[in-house]
Amino acid sequence: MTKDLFERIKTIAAAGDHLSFTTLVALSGLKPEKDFQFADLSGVSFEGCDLDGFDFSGARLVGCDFTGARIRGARFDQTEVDRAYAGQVRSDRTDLRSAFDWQRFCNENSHKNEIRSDDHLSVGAVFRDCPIGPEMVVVPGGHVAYRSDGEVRDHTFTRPFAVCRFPITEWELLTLPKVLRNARRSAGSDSWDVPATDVSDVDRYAYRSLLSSVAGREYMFLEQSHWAHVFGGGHELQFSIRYGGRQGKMKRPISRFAANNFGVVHANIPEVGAYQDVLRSF
Amino acid sequence: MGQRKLAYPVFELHLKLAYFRKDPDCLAYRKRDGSDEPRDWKTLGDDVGLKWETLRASVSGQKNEITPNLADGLAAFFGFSVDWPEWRKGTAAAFKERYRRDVLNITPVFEMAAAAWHRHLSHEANNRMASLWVGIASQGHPQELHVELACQPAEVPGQRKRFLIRRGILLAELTGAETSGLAETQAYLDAYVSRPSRFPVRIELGGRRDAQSWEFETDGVAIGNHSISPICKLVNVVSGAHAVFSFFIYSKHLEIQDDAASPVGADTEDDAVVSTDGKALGHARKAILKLLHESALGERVKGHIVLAVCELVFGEQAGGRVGHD
Repeated sequence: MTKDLFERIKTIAAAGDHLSFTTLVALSGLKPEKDFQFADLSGVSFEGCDLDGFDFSGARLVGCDFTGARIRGARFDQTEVDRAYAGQVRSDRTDLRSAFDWQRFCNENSHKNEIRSDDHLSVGAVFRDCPIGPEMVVVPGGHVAYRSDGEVRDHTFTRPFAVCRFPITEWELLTLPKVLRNARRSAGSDSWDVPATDVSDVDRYAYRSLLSSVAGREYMFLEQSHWAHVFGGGHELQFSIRYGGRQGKMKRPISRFAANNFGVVHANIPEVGAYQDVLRSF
Repeated sequence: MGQRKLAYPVFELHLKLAYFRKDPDCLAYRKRDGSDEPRDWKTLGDDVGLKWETLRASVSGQKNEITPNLADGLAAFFGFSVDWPEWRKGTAAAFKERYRRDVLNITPVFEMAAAAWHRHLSHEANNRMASLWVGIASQGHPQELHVELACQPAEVPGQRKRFLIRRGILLAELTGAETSGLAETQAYLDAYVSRPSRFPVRIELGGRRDAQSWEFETDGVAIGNHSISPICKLVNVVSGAHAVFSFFIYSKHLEIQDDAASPVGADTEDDAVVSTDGKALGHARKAILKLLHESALGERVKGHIVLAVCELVFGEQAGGRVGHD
């Protein structure tokens, strides 16, 4: 270990915890554009920090606080923002939307991501491919048997795949092209953080296409077998799947639903496989 | 009036015929007038006993279809069977491999297992982050590979700390060969548990056919020592092919633990750092200190830290060719 490196370690060890993350980085001599890729920064508070120029691609950012942070110019491609768990979703989970300039960050990051390997994401990892993308959770492969249209069917998933952790929300559909977005807005919605309902085929295909283009990955809609596997959470389903989109109006925010064994929140409508939700291979 | 025999499809027919016409080993096996020159359509037609116009027409238009008469003629002349699954549905590469093995009797074997490289953290040989060795599983199965991987905690140079790896990826990058038998390997690996008592090691397949990967993961302790035989099978091996096996980790999967036993001759200045109460450190300082410690391992490329590499080079050995002339 070089003398210089030892000095830097000593400086950081002696520094107070009152110093902000960016100040500590400056003292450490680490390079924001390179040294934080795939790093473990779980629990770090970025409150009020200016993160312009930081590259957090592939990093683990579980339980981080971005309140008031400036994230314009930072990269968060395939960052792991949480781990899957069953039950109520924690309120202290990493939420980039609490950043000061989140909306601006989204607007400026609708370019294609650099496609990276998924090797750093294990089963149970919760991540985003791109800022406008939904939170995805990696679910394991396995065998699933389910009933559909009076028939018993089965399917084996040989590989893990990633599926959206929450139902697609009205907020996520805000990323649609302006014409479609206005059409949805005129249809009326009181809250944007609720599962999207009455989604037309035009909207869902437009959303999938936009997402695939920005994330640089091919997103697909869930088929019945996917839904049975994801919803069952590794257990056999005791009821038939009715496959279709969500209809009517939902008022409960997605954060108030409970997750299953795979960490997937299914909005408490077990008999309906919502076909606007997305997945991607892994 | 005799029933007309319909042409049937053959996958990658053009490539398979090109193999008969141009491959040196195939030409040598069925020489015409002592010539090793590539066959034109006419020569090939004469060999098989059909008019060359018929032969050429049957494969023109990119239809990839062939009449049973022509297929039987080719099979009789070149010594293969039209019942081989590789003939009708297999790729040209798979057909070529079987043809070389069954008809030409050419079996690829490893000629050498070249350089193995391990990351050293100090001059002590036993302070390796990981060591890796790949070789032939047995002489009877020259295309099955055997892997020995050892991954134990290693001391951080000059610090009373140890690097601990609980998740790593073994990657096989192949040139001129592909892995095969994935389902079989998957089943084998699923059943493979090295320490069933307390800390089982999970091994999962990933990657592609030309860049296969195995992910090792454990819950509590270091990955440990593994001897897996076979870890994979290889197909479509050509002479000069090589395979590079590397064991790497992502930065975030590297843990740094305080070492209970102090290393002899530790830097006294370092004691001040070590004596800092790690639990009292904020998350940001802990994370940055960890990144600084990791920098002792050298340059990271996109978060990868390569710990060990083993490279194999393939040669080819003729097991005795049988001539038909």
